[in-house]
Amino acid sequence: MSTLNVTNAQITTLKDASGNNPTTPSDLVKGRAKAWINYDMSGTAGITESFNITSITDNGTGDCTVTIATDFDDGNYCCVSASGNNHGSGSDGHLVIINDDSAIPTTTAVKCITKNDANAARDTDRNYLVMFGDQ
Amino acid sequence: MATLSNTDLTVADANITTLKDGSGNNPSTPAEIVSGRIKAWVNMDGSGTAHIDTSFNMTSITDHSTGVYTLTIATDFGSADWVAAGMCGTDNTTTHFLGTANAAPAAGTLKIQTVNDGGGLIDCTHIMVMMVGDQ
Repeated sequence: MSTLNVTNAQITTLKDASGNNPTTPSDLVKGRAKAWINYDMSGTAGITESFNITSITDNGTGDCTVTIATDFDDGNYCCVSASGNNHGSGSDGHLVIINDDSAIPTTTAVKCITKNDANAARDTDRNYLVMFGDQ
Repeated sequence: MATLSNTDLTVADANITTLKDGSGNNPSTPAEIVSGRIKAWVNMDGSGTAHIDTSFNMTSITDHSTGVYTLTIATDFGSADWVAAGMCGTDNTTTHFLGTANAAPAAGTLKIQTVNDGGGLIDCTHIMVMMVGDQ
């Protein structure tokens, strides 16, 4: 069996060599994460690792704006998240929530807030955000 | 550029610049697919004897104490800088939060904690976590 080299492959269904594990290009486009970011809000806020993210802006304690490189078609995309600290008490829960500012999320940016279980904004050091939607 | 038309093409390795459907829509590059697809996920029950209900690319979970678990990944990430997101809950109306626990993630493990809205660690019956990043 050889290697296929092609610039544009137009395929109805992608399968493995046994004809199993089918995936359509539409499945791939809809189902793959369009952007993700691992960021640190402690000290000088910064991106630890990311995909399709331009930058983050530190707006204040626990408050940041994540800017996407290749935009979404509209503001109705899906974000899932988790957050936490590498310090503090064991029961100190944290949550990344989408800011309820009516101006966001936009096709290019989403504003996030991290809070502890007492509803106080916190600069957590591990914040994970994954985005799905149409581009 | 040639056009290859075949109903069933079987090939061991396909080197493709852009994958599209039969109409030339829904494009994805291999880089987008690799960066954007979920590398591991788990649906687990943290109550009683904590166990995995279903998963992809997970080896095991370790139950440390109430609400605190380590997830062990089968095929590790390239570094500790990857992204996880998830949700958790029980069969009642209490709000629960999922976050990273007080330990730095590693290439092959992630320590998580589940917390109720009073800030106390709790064993949730439904814990769902997905992971993306570079392997």
